[in-house]
Amino acid sequence: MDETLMNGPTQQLTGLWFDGIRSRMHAATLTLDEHSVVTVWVDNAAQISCPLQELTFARRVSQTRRSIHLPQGSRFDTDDNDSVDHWQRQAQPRFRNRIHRFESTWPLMLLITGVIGLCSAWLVLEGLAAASSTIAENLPASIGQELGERSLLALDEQVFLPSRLHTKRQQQIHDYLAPALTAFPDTPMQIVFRDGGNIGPNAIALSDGTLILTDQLIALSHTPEELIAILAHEIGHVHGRHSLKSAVHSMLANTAALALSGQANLNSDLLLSTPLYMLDMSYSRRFEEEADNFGLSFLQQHGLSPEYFVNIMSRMARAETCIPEADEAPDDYDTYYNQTIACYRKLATLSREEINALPSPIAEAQAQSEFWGYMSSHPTTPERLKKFSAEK
Amino acid sequence: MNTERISSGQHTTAGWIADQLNSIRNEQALTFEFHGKSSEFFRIWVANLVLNIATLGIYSAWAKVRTKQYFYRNTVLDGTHFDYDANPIQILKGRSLVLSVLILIYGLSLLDPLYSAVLSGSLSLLMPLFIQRSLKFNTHYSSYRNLRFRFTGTLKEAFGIGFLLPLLFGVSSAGLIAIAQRLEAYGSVQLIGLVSFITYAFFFVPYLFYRYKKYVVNHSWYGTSRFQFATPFREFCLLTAEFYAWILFGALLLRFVFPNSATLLQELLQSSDPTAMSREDWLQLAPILTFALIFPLFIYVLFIVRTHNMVFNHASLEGVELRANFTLWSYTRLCVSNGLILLLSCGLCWPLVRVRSARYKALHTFVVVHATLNHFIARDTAQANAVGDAVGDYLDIDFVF
Repeated sequence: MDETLMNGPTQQLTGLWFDGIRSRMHAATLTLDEHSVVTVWVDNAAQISCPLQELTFARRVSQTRRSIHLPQGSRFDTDDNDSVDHWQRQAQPRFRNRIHRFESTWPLMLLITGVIGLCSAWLVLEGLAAASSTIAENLPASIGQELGERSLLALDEQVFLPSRLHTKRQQQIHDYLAPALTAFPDTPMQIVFRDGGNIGPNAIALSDGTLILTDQLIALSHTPEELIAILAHEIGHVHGRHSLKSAVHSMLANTAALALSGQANLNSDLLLSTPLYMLDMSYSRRFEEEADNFGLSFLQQHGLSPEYFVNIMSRMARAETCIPEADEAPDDYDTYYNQTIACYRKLATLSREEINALPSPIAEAQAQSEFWGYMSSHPTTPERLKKFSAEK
Repeated sequence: MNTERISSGQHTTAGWIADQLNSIRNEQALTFEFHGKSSEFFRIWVANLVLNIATLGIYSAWAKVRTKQYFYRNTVLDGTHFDYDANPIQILKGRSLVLSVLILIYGLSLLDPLYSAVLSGSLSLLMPLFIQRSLKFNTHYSSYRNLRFRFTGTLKEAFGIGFLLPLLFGVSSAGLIAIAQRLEAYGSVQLIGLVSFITYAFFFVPYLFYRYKKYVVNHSWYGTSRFQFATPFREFCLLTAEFYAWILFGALLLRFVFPNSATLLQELLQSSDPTAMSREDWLQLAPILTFALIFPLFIYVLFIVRTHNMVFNHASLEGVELRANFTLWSYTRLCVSNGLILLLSCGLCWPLVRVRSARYKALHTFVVVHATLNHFIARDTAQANAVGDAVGDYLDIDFVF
């Protein structure tokens, strides 16, 4: 069909013409004669003529009405997109209209949609994690240093209080744990002590190698080997540069969300921030698993029983029983501190059976529903301990 | 044919007579129509996505132009469609700028959060600039019947509305309070504080909003005709008061009808481990969570529908009056159904949602024309360039900070 028209005497398009000076629309026809001269006809009167080469064709967008711009600012619109394509090919032999053809093939589009869906899923679940790891591993050490130092300052400002352990006791624990640190000459680490405040018994590893042990954790431990077990887990975090990787991952995920949605501040957008939160948590769980595995192999290498880890973790899962109810809590912090420390010390003396007999609200909730696993930053405690109990 | 109207016409060319004879219309309402189809747009959207990924985001500028062209060209009024013809290269420049700034902010935040906070803070201060520039850019490249639209709002006025006014108000209130304190009339400090608060909440906030809408409409042009903004200030005040009333109602509902749930919610927000709550607790929370989802939606829909109708129903152009009849119920239905569609399709049906929204907007917007739409005249572009209104100055920034 196209070929015969190309050699025919005159080609014609019908449509509307706008002179560009007034908003009036004119029913018009556009003719192309054998000398490649284009003329606009309104009511059989020629309005404007020009060579074909001087026309500017608007890009085709699906089946929408197509515009042809003439010199001196007037415009001709027509619905006959196919013919306009044909004219355009005559005017610009190199014209291919690739994008429109790309969009028009249904099977290809469906296939691509499927591929995009799969790739996005992979990206979200695996790709981001891989990218964050690579980036974090290649960042200079000074960044980890800065991040760690600033984290400690922030924690000291907002959560932690100075440790109430006697300096001699701190030195004693430090000397006991120091040999474990020397096993990693490439990763300089140092142990600091703090009063955990509201956080209670816990240990935290920062990205500059600082390992924080809280007074409450020390009170909760029965033997020094248990502290080594916890320390091994934390060293696992430092060794794997988890803090830094977490920060990079968070940044990448937020950038991706920004690119998709065009919003830089997602705090008020529940639809977007919930998946992001879940993504953060899944990444965090991954790290906890890595640290657990690292801790386990460390204990095995040094001939220590994994039981130590199981014991201290079981106690930590029940540490909540030592927190008084809001209306029964003492008014001044000193009494509160002494009270809770004494309670933790008491827990440390209980046998395994007695510990397991104590209620643990968290464990109960986790046992009830797997869904909570997806919303929490750590794998559920029973899962974690299973690994350690199996290796006896 | 209404002879009075003919004699009041200002155009006396020969074509004008033909107009009157060819199109004998009295005052009539013309609806906007949207002719787009979601299956069509779906293909454009997928192609955009693929090419975007393949070019690492560079194609996004072309994608944006193409999408806008699809929506503009499928919007029809009185038998002719709108058009958008921006140059993608310019959009690309704007986006590259935004991206570099964002990378800078993120990079700085790794070094010291203070730097990035300062940078993003100062960028927020530049909001009026971004808004004005975007308006100028997008309006200039929009056209109807080969005549361009235009936005002539000045940067000065944008900053005035965005900063000067709030600043002025804050300073004057603080000044009044300081004076009252000096005079040691403690009663009047509280009174002045109260009066300032009421003035602020019930008059100043709607005033800012009023000035902003007026800025956008009054400085918009089609050819040589200027849009007129005629929404009375009182309507903004009434809307604000209604808004506050609903929020108060919601708060009271929360406090008295769901008292238990309120404290439970507080506990949930304060505890660091959501897994510590039992199933029974969550069942008790269900009504308040439903309320928390529905109420903001209601407020949002109320705001959008009322504002849109309010501004459109009083806006006019030479011989043309704009009208809108969004309704609370139909717009809520649209929002909820769109949300469900997105959720169930994991975002893949986004083109469908966009087409539905465009169709709704077109269906509920119309113009009342006194004769025809043929009487508009284009601006003399040679004159425009001489004034220094160069298109190269326009920047399109469409990220929300």
